[in-house]
Parts: sequence; C-alpha cells; structure tokens
Amino acid sequence: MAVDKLVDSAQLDADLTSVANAIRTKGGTSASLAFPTGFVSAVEAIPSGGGGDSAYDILYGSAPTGEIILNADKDIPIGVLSGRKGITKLTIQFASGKKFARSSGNGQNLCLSSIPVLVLIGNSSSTLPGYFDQMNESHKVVVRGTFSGMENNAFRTTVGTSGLQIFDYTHTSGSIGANAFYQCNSFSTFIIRGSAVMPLSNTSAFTSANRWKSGGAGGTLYVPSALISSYQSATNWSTILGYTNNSIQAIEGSIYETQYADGTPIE
Amino acid sequence: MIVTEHFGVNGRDFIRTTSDAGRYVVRDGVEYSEACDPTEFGRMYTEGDLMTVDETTAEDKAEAYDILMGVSE
Repeated sequence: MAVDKLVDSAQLDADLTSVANAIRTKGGTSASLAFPTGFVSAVEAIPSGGGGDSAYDILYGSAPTGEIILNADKDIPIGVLSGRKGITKLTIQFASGKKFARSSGNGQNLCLSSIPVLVLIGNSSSTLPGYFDQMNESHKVVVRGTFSGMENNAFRTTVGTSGLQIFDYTHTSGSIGANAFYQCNSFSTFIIRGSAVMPLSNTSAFTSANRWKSGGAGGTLYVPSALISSYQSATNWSTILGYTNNSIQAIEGSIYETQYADGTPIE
Repeated sequence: MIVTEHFGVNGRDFIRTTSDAGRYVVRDGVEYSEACDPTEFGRMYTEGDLMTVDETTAEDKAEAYDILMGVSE
C-alpha cells in the first residue's frame, strides 16, 4: 500500500457517502454499499435509459424480446414493430408532447401483429391515432395517463380480424371515434375509467365488432358505478347497451377495481 | 341541415340525428358523426363546422396512393 498523502478522513467519508447516496437513488435501492466493489456492482446494475429503451433503439436496433418498456422521446412513426416476434408485453411511455406520428396517406400505425399485451401511458397531447393495425395476436390493450381521445378507426384492422379482447382505457378528455373497433370480432370487455362519460361519436365504433353489434354474442362495458345510468342514457351508448346481449357492470367489485387489465396494480 | 329518423331497439324508440351536409352534429360541445338517442330525451343538435370523414373513401384513396407510390402491393 502506498502511503504518501495525508487525507482528511472525515471529508473522505462524507464524499464517499455522497457518491453512495447518489448511486442508491439512481438504482432505487437502500442497501449499504461497500467501497469499491459494492459501488461498482450497484452502478452496473442501474438500468440504462432510466428503465426503458429509447424509441429508436427499439425500433431500429436489435430485435428485443420479452417485456419491453419503450420511452417515446420522439414521435413514433408508422408501420414499426410489424411482424416482430418474441415481445410478450410492450409498454410505451410518451414524453410530454410526443405522440404517434401519422402519415399523410394510410393512417396505418403500430402494427402489433405479434404483441399480446400493449400498455400505452399517454401525456396530455397524445391521442390514439387510427389503425392499430393487424392486431392478430394482441389480446389486451391498457391505456393510462392522459390521452385526449381515440381517433376514428383506432383499432380498425385492414387484415382479417383483430385479436383484441380486452381494452382498458382511462378517460380524461376526447371521445371514441367512428369505426374504432371495426372487425374487432374477439373484443368482449371494455373498461372505461374516469369521472365522466366518454362520448361515443358514432355507434359504428361497435357495429362491426361481432360481439357488440345487434344480435351479437355480447360485450361487457365496465364503468364506475356512479356513471352506469349515465352511460345507459348517453348518446350512442344507449343504443349499443340496448342490444340484448351487451351489458354494463361496475368497476367496483370487479377484478378491475384493483388492477388494470394487464395485471398492473392500481395505486 | 339536420336530418332525423326513428328506429327501434328491443321495443324502445330511438332517434338518429345526422347532417345531410356531411358535418358533425353538436350538442353540449361534443361532436358526433351520428347521434342516436332515446326519443323521450328530446335531445337537440346543431350542425357543426367540421366535416365527417367518409371512412371507406378515405381508406380506398389511401390504399391506392400507397400502391402508386410503391409502398405496398
């Protein structure tokens, strides 16, 4: 050991504690850290990108698998992730002001043919654009945060029938556009959270979804119990809920009271 | 101008309100491309400024554009 300097040990301890605290904060841990190996291990354990990959790393880099968190720090262009295999759950967190980018022609957006569970966490300026296309194997979609409504053709599929089964949406503003669930023939459960009725722009949102249309097997709408009678009398909702096999249930007392459709607990 | 027609769902009378100019109809600040209400509520709509989109036409045009531009087959 080289002994060639006088060191203020108290200051050194304070400095090391400062560094350790910063590492613990970033790494989300409260464990004590032994210097230097503990410091090294803790830094190496910190996830890159704050817990999610940049949108463009995911889109244009190596093909990820498993559960993926995507930080949408840029607008997400159309047609990406088409045909990607191996992603079991995709969570997209939109930074403020970021959204799905639309082309001037076909509004075809995120092709989710092979992603079973999609979670979108919006940020006030985002809307769900049209054509989440070809959701052949996508079964559950959860939308949290603040999206300002769903555009026309949100889940309209241009290829066969959509695999969408459960849609869990937190309503803050905006409405449901025409043909939103066009050919979503497996769509059976719609959860709408929020303190007000989400307007339905046109019954066409449901009338081509086999279960919800007149004579269909029936779909179930879950809403806050205080809004049940309001939905039953609301424009266009009153018609859809008037079809024999469609029903409306309270979120309270259901499994959706304590968790989102993807199993994430509600805090 | 505003156009209405009656229809029934499981024995209950409804009224469908649309615009013959292809515009949204508006009530309480909310725009509807087509508004269906139980008749007994007597809901009234005004004609909005925005045009509704003919979804079939728009999709056909978009698909044709993509084919011409070599985006899809």
